[in-house]
Amino acid sequence: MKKGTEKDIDCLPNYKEPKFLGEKEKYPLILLPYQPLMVLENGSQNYPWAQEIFLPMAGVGWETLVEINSETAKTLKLRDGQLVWVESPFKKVKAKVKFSEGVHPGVVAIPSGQGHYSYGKWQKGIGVNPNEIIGVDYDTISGQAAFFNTRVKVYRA
Amino acid sequence: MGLAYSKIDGKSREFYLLLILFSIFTLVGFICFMVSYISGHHVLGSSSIIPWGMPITITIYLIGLSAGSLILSALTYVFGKEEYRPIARLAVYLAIILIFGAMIGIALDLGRPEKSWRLFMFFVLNNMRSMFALNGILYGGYFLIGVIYLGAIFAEKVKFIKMMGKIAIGWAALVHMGTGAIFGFIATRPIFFSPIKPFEFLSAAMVSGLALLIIAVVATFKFTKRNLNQELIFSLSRLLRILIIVLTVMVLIDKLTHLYSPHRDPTIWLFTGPYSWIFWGLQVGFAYILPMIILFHPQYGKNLKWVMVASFLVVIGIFGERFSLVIPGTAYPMPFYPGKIEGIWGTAGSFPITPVESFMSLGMFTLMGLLFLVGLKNLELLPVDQSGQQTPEPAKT
Amino acid sequence: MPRWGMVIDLDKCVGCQACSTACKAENNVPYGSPDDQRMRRDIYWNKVIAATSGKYPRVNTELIPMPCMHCDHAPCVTVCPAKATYRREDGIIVQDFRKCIGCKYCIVACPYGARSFNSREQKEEEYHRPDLPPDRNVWGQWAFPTRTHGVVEKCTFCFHRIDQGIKEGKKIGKEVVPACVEDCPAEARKFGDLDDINSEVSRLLSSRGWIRLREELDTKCKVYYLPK
Repeated sequence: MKKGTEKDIDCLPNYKEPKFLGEKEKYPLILLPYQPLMVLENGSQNYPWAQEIFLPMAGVGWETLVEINSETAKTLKLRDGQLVWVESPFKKVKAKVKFSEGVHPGVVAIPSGQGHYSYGKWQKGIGVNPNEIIGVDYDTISGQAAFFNTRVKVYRA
Repeated sequence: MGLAYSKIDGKSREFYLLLILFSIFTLVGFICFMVSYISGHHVLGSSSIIPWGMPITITIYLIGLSAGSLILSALTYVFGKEEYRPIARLAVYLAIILIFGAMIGIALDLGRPEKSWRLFMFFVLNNMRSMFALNGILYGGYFLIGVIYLGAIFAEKVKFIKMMGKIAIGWAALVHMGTGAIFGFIATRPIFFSPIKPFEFLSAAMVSGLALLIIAVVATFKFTKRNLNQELIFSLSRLLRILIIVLTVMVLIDKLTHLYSPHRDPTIWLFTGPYSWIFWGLQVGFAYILPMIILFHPQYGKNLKWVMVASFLVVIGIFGERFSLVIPGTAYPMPFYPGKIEGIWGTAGSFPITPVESFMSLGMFTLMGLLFLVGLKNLELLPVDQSGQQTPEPAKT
Repeated sequence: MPRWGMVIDLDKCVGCQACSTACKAENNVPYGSPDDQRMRRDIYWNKVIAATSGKYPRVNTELIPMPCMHCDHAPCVTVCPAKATYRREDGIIVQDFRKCIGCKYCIVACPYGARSFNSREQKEEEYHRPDLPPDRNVWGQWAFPTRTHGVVEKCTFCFHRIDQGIKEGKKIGKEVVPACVEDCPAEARKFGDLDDINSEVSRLLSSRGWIRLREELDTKCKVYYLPK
């Protein structure tokens, strides 16, 4: 067995509790840095036409939105369109929040693809990159890099 | 009769100070207009969701003031009420410069003002089914009728004055009902769409025109040190409070109709949304409730200072009425598809206040103030009382 | 005379917005900036809206592309004072930039938000596209490759392509289509003559139930949607 993987492999379908970075009490929500449609192929956002239609499901462009379920956002006492900090055990970023019904109540979804430091005048300095705040970890079962197991907390900026 | 009219001397220091102040602001307004002409309307903060901003709001406000003022001058010349004769000439002149200011206001708001001559190509190049084009005929004709009317008054041909007065009242009513129809016939915007809009606009015009007339008369007579018969102002204020009641009834019927119809969400948004303070504060509070309380009060209604306060409140409140029609009417996001529309297509528009637009609007008002002062000095508008005890002294040099 | 219409199949549309971008490329529509979008000044000839309904976990988001609907009873044609927008014989609502005075009455009257006001002077090098074929620069009722600021613009069903196609004798709807129809990767948009029983659009309209947007305003628009 390679170092770090599970010693016993169960060949029938079963459930193993995932391992998250950050304690549940301090960082109650799970961060999901997803890739919207414009980012999937080459990910270049240095075109104004591409930036304008960056988030079609949210109807906006030129920015990064923190998408939270509206019930969760109400318990956190947030208002739609407010600037919030999303803080993980490692770093924190600031962006605008959006109430979205399509997100699981325990999850915070932030699109990746913005937040470039340079790379051209149409995307420099626009938006934030959620991959800045995720931790460096590997999946305990397969050994691949894990992107989706960072816990965060969200509060008003 | 027994009334002679005279020009003012116009040599006092305050006169020149006002003249210079108005000229400076008019020049600033003109420079702002040139900035917006060269660089585009983005400096005015216009957008595709709220296409009509401050210039159009001020324009319809000025048309209302003008139509109201002209209809009230007809009280003397058509209905023969002699007690209003001292102020009738002033009312007609005020009406003329207000409609001139309104036409300039329309030209300022156009995206391409150099093509504004197209608005006057009636039946030749224009689409006469459009209320905008019909209003072109109405405003142009109104300006001409006003000028001829004033000319007839100066020439003192009584029969001609009476005939022109009747035409002027009818045409002025049509003018402002036409302005109301620009908004009332648009089915897309539920806050606009109502057959009562022409009548609502006409009542608002009479109310605001009368209030402005009261303020202008009292202020002008005080500044030129002429004695004013206070009974004149009080009878005008009694007329004002009845007109306010009529206007309140019209607006009430209009809003109630909108609350009952299927499209009630935009009206509820007007009452409770981000622009509700303009509706409840300026329109209902300043224009309807407070003036009615003041004017119906047994003590305050007979005090000239309080009547002036009420008139100021009305003038500001009716401006708020125009604003709370144009901006929330266009700002409400349209329901293209059932469901909540996300993003920029589903949020209500916001009206940014930009310095270029503010100074341009201020320039429009000061231009009319300038024309008013120039007219007072060069035309015989103000009365000189023949009886000895109230000889007005000319303004001190 | 043909009556040009469009059918958009919402079952196939994935909301990729290639139609919006293709339209911008074909018609030289200026792009905006973050400020422009926030202030709602940016110009879209074809927009894609997202309409969400329901609460978690029963949520549904519909993505609806909306070009200009080219209504038969167009509210914008009725209210234009300078006759800058009018209905052509073949049903296309034309916007003549040279007659438009920029009064914005049509933007107030359009129920679909299809019209945008050009509020900024674009920089020459960002706007003028010398790479476009030279016959674009002819004077005529449309071809103003650069539009001045202060006029209203909207989708034109790419009538320059249609007119050129008719002149060359090509089949409209099969060989010559507007840019958005041509560039849709899911082939969700179809264009053709609504009065022709053999055209693709007529076949599609009879195959499933169709809806039009904002039917209660009865504008008799000519862009039909086939719901899922």
